[in-house]
Amino acid sequence: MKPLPDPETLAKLVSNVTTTMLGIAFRPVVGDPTPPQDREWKTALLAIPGGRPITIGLASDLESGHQLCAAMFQCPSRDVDAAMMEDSLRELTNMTAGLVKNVLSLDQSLGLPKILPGSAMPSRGAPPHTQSVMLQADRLGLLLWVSEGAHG
Amino acid sequence: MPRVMTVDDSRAVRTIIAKQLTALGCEVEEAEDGKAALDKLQDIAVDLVLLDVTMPVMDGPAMLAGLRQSGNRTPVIMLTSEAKRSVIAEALKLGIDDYILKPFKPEELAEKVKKSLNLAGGSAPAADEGEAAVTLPSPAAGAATTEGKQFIDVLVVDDMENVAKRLRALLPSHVTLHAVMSAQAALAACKERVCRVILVDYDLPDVSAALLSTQLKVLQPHAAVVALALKPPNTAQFVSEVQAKGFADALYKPFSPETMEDFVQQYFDKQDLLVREDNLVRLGSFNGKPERMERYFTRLDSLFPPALETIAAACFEGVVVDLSQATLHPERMPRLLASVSSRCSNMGLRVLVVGGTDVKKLLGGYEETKGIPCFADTTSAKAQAA
Repeated sequence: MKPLPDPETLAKLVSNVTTTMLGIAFRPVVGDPTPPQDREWKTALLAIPGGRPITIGLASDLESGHQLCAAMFQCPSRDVDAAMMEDSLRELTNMTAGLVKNVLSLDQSLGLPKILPGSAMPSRGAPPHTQSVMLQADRLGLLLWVSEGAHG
Repeated sequence: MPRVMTVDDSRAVRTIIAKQLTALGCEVEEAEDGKAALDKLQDIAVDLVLLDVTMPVMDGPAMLAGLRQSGNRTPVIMLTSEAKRSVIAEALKLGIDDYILKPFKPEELAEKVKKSLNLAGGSAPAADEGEAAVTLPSPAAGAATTEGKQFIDVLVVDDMENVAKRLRALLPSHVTLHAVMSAQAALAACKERVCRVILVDYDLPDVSAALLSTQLKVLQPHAAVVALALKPPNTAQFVSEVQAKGFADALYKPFSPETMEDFVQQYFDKQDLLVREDNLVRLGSFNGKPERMERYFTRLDSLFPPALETIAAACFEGVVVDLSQATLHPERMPRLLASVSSRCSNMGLRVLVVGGTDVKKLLGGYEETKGIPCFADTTSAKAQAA
């Protein structure tokens, strides 16, 4: 059984998705990887049920989510609404989960991504059962984590 | 204008696809799940469906199964983050034309859609990736290693490196070639790319050629898998043997320029031989040696059925076959048209032909073809067959 991808690999996976789809490259935050607590966050979770259940979470602060959504819909930022933001975050999570699944060589089907209620940063586990990485692209921030087991 | 339906629960993905396809000149229909798509397809016909796998209400595989069970043969490209082998293999069995893994680049989507719709520019050279593989770029194909292009003309699977080098030297520069030296690398390459022809060493060490051929065909249902072997004393018997093991044909080593000319004509001149635009099918001419004429008609025989299916699915009343550029063999052409006419009759399509007095005379000489109406130009014929 392959171990969960390390933060550097996770960063590459997310950046692969955002570079390909949006032309935005993210890099891991150097130094303190703790997500800022003073921001409001939107979080999507996706479960990969099966013999080795895995949960993938992707969270963005509201400003980043807004800009990523505008890039995804190729529309002006003023046209973005909450439903569009949630849709974009779900799809980015879905695409990232597909790549994570490949890295883990899992022959299990992806579940449907869902948006968590509330705007607080959800709690996550710690290594080795959870790997997470904080990412940034200019002022945009994302947090990706992968956990063993079914959560959320 | 081709009409394409994108079926995806993500509005963002549907929006991205709609913008890209509109830029290609397509009319785009959207559906947020498989059930909504099936409902819409009861009222409208489309030329292509881009189908997500994981969706609420009804997922992609269930929608595809329902579509096929209803007799709808519209081409489908699966577009998914779900790289699970069993899902893709099942979808291939149900008749998807191709698949695209998310995330995808706009040019990859455009490439595959154009190829499926037979629009201009629907092929591209290959990317270079895979540890056990070597890409031999064609001298004139500078974009052969451009990232994001997933289409290759020829995949060579042979443990002797020189085989691919020799092929590269003999193939025209526009034919892209990718070489791997093991069965494992071949399967990996076939998961990442779309191949037109796969040449497999029939004597690959420790590998069952029949099993490998089967596996490659699951991953590449539209590719011709051809056995590479030393020329045997009885080629007809050998071809029967390899066909029984799932190969389309055999190609013999050592390669000669004549052999490769045949190979290229057989697999890479198809677009020129038969081009479909709406319900108009134009036949190209035969320029090879007279003894290869039969191959020209054999290839036309194989190219007609999918073109006719597309025309029937688009609800045209008739198909216009333009013979003004075709080679009018006195026996073979009427036989081809008789076969096309019979197939069209079964599909509820009329056949109309475009050509000069020589075509009229040719059709009039045979019982099976003398009733096919012949027009001097495509405009008049299309007006009768809309």
